[in-house]
Amino acid sequence: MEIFNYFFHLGIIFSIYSLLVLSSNLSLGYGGLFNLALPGLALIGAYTSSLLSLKTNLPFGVIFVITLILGYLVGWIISKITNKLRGDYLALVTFGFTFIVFTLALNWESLTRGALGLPSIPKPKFLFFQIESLIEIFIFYYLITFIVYLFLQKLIFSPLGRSIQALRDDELAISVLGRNPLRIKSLVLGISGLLSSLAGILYAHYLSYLDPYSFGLGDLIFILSALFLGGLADNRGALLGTFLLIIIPESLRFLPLPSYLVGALRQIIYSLIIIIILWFRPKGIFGKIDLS
Amino acid sequence: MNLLELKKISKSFGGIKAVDEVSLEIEEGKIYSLIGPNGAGKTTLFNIISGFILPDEGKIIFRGEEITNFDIWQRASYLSRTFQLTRNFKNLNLKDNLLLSFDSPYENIFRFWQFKKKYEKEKIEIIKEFLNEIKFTREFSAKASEISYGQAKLLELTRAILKHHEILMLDEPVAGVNLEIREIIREILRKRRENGDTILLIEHDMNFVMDISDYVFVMSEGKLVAEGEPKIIKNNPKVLDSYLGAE
Ligand SMILES: Nc1ncnc2c1ncn2[C@@H]1O[C@H](COP(=O)(O)OP(=O)(O)OP(=O)(O)O)[C@@H](O)[C@H]1O
Ligand SMILES: [Mg+2]
Repeated sequence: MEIFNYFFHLGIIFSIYSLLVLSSNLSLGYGGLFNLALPGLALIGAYTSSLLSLKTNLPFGVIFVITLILGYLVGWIISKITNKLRGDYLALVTFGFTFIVFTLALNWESLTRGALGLPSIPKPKFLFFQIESLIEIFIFYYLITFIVYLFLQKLIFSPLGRSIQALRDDELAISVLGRNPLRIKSLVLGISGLLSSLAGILYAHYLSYLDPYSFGLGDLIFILSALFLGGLADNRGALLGTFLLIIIPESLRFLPLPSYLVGALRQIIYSLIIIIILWFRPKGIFGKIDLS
Repeated sequence: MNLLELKKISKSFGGIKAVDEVSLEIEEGKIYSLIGPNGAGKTTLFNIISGFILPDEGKIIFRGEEITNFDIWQRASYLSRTFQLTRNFKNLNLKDNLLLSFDSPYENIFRFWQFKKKYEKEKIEIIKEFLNEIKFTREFSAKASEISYGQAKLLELTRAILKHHEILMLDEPVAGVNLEIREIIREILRKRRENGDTILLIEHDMNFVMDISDYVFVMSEGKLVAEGEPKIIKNNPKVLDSYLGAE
């Protein structure tokens, strides 16, 4: 049964990272907002939910909701602070945000235990239903990812989604049509924050362990690569990109190679896929838009 | 009451006085043109009226209410405009580009999930009818980035017209378009006026301006140097001097 557990594990990782890639697709692919705060928001979600679970008696369902609201609020605040910034500057400030969250998690030892990390984070539990085994977690996480996917598709193909995409294409032109761009940005970054913190919750309560390195620069590269591979502004593409970037490097494990080679080879293959795809299909597999 | 009033509007960029104490009044139901040589400050004045730029001095009054410091999107509830360099939503198709003219009750985080395509049928009919009228034949699914220059101009114009407004501001609507499209635009604008619309347009094409306008403002070096009915403006020595002479 080892092999099944291994696939369930990969599946769970896929569902967690799908949330981050979908979240990034909403802000960057559809909203045109170069939001690099996602790992920071995921850390906030993961720490909030873990600490509340470890230090209070609140039921998990309540913690879950509080954490999601917090994720939305932090995304919303980021939108207020960065309102006038576009493109590179927004990327810089939101990347700075991720770095600040990381630094806090590392140095606020009385709360987070710093680099030692938080062990024994409990598994999710809703009302009386304790989600414990690998397969239960697998099903529960897929359900969540599926709901999020449906929600985002509905959003994107609604008039609200149309305005979000119009904001990406031309902020002034959408203002002239009577939409307040700040309102749209707040919404996009808020939802993006909520989804990232959701990914953080699922991650911490699956692995039962969390430290400041759980989400960082590596995840950012993964998210953006998956997005560009699958194609910006297409959620199916986002999922496919995530899937391929998990599966292809993973399959190296089964080659008869020494382990020190596998690590390096993984990075090389990883970069190679991206170069090849971007070479032959610069908009990604499903992508429709041009951000320049 | 005047629809729109500018009172001593001024705006400088560094040392350049792009707009210099411009005052003007616009009444409902007429076509106004704003003419003047390159760099006269016409587009800057448009940007001030629509809220892209705040003036250094002066007031903007709409139906008696001062709106000098309103945001762009707030003024949009009574003002439609196009741009000298056409702005469309390049990754969206023509249908979405035009549906954006209309507000939707579903454009809201609490209601978007109730949205169904049938709620837009009526708007799509309005759009199709208008496009027919102007003989615009590109398929709805074409992306805005794929259409020709003239079509892009028409698309932007259509969006501005279909959007609810009390004044329609067009920055060089016929610049660079072929004769056929120019005629189409002339016809649309005439029809709009017949229906009571108020139009303010910037244009370099004198024949077009003199033919279509009820009233003309002339700017030069930031100042409003003349105004009046087309036939008076045509023979105004100041205008010949500052504008037609410079051509
Ligand atoms: N954002 C800006 N920054 C600096 N200078 C500007 C800016 N916008 C306009 N100007 C200057 O203000 C003056 C008026 O420009 P404006 O674009 O309003 O002229 P215009 O009458 O529309 O000319 P054209 O017929 O060429 O479109 C010009 O000298 C221009 O260089
Ligand atoms: Mg101009």
